[in-house]
Amino acid sequence: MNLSVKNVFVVILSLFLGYSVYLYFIPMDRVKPDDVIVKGKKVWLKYNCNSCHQIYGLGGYLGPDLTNLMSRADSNYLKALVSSGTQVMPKFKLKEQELTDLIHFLICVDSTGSSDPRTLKATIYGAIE
Amino acid sequence: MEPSNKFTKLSYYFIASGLICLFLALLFGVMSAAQYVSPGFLKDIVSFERLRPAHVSSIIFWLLLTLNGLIFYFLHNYLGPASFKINWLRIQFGSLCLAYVLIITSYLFGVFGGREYWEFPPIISLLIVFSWIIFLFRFLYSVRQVHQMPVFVWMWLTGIVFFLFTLIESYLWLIPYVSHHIVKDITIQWKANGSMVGSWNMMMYGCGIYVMDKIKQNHDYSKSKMAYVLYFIGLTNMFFNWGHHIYTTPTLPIVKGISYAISMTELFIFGRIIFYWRKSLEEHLNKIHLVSIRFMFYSDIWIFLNLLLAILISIPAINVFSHGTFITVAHSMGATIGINSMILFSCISFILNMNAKEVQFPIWAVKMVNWSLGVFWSTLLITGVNKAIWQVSSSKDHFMAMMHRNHNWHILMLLSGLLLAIFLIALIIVFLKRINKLIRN
Repeated sequence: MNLSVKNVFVVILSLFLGYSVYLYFIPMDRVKPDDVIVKGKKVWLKYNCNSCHQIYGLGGYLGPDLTNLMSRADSNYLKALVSSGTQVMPKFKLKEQELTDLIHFLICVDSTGSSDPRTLKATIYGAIE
Repeated sequence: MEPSNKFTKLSYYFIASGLICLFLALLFGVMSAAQYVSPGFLKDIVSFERLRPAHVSSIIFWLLLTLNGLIFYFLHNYLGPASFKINWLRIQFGSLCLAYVLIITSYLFGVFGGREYWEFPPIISLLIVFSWIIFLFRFLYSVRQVHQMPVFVWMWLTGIVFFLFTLIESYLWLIPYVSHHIVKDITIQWKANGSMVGSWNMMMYGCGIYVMDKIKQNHDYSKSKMAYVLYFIGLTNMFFNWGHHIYTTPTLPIVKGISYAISMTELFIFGRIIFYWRKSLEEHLNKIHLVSIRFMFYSDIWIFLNLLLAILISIPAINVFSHGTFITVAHSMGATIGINSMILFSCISFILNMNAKEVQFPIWAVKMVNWSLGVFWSTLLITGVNKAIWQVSSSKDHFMAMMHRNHNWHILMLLSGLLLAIFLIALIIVFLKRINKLIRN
């Protein structure tokens, strides 16, 4: 193997592995974790809500972003929407406990921050704050 | 040196399976697009949350199966006959195909449980991991005594290793420590997804470089300093630029800062494309009669357009507008069809010997694919800009009102997407017929 290519590869790889380990262990969340988040997330994954909806703009685009839904709507609205569907959204037959867990998950997502781009400011370097 | 018949046949089966996955991806894609135009279309039979992942997974398997077949063929064309048992390769092939069938079945029956782009039940991933471990061992065994590896071997090695790494990383959410923390979970998910795309791009570009070397009949480029400089820029981006997917999330500022800085190194590649455009165009036009070069010519155009778009939306201040809109979809579709698929078609046509004068190839279909892709891509950009304006408007009305205003653009998206699908299917049929003929002979 060409030695200098191998050396450069090893250096870049080492930086990547160090960065990865740093990210795995550094705390990132302001909200304390709890088990109910995990149950609610499982409901979100079980019914693949992400295919049509987004959290922080990440997901499908057929439906709206739901990051801050629970700031605008109450839990009864969400339960009614999920159970009855809309012209675009099918009816989902969630159990009562699943609905409760999903709502709790969305409340926690809402508390992590805002996905509204109007709350972000651009700097002259092209970054955002 | 040509691989022996049974190994060649197996690589053809990989490629044929990939082409069938592409066909199904087009079918699912058109059905998904129809749901934008006619809300509620097929909602009660096969709704969008089943079609979208079916479309995405089919595209991913088009890439993975075809890359397996191409790398396998090219590696042994370069190194000489394979010295390992073909049964392991059959197991590798069978595992990937079985994984795909199970994935699509789970989607169509509404059985999920995974994350975005890997929505299927996580246990099915074990088949992909198993198949990939065989692929990796076979590759390492083949190159173990190669001195001064040309850049395309480095690229294949990097792509194969890091696809496995990122696939496993994308399942870290199964560990409670990760899944209990929303922001960490999103960060690691997109770290894995972003780098994973880079890993199959590495494999793809490696194949493209190999084919260009074979057409030029020398390995001067793939052993040149510039080839390695570009490889290391690609490698650094694969490792560090993924944070541009999550600029608008409350993740660590250092993630955003590193991603912004590294993403801008692609300006070197963009600048190089502009600087050498005349020389590149001349090289292509000299050999444009070759089917492989025709596909490469179009992929170069899409590399230019998509790289410009990618660099722009990697600037955080612009990403704020484009994030969560069809501008992102335009980038991913433009890259997957215009770049990745064109390069794969170029490589496929090369190993199927479709550059020979006696082979009749429908060049008109290649042109029509790219023209319809151009309309499709533009429509996605316009729809995306409309949503971006809505997102930052001070008097933002309801989401459905915005979707209604975009309705005519959704219709154009569907029509151009349908044309694109038809012409791509024409190419798929040509390749499958050729593979069938070669296998029978």
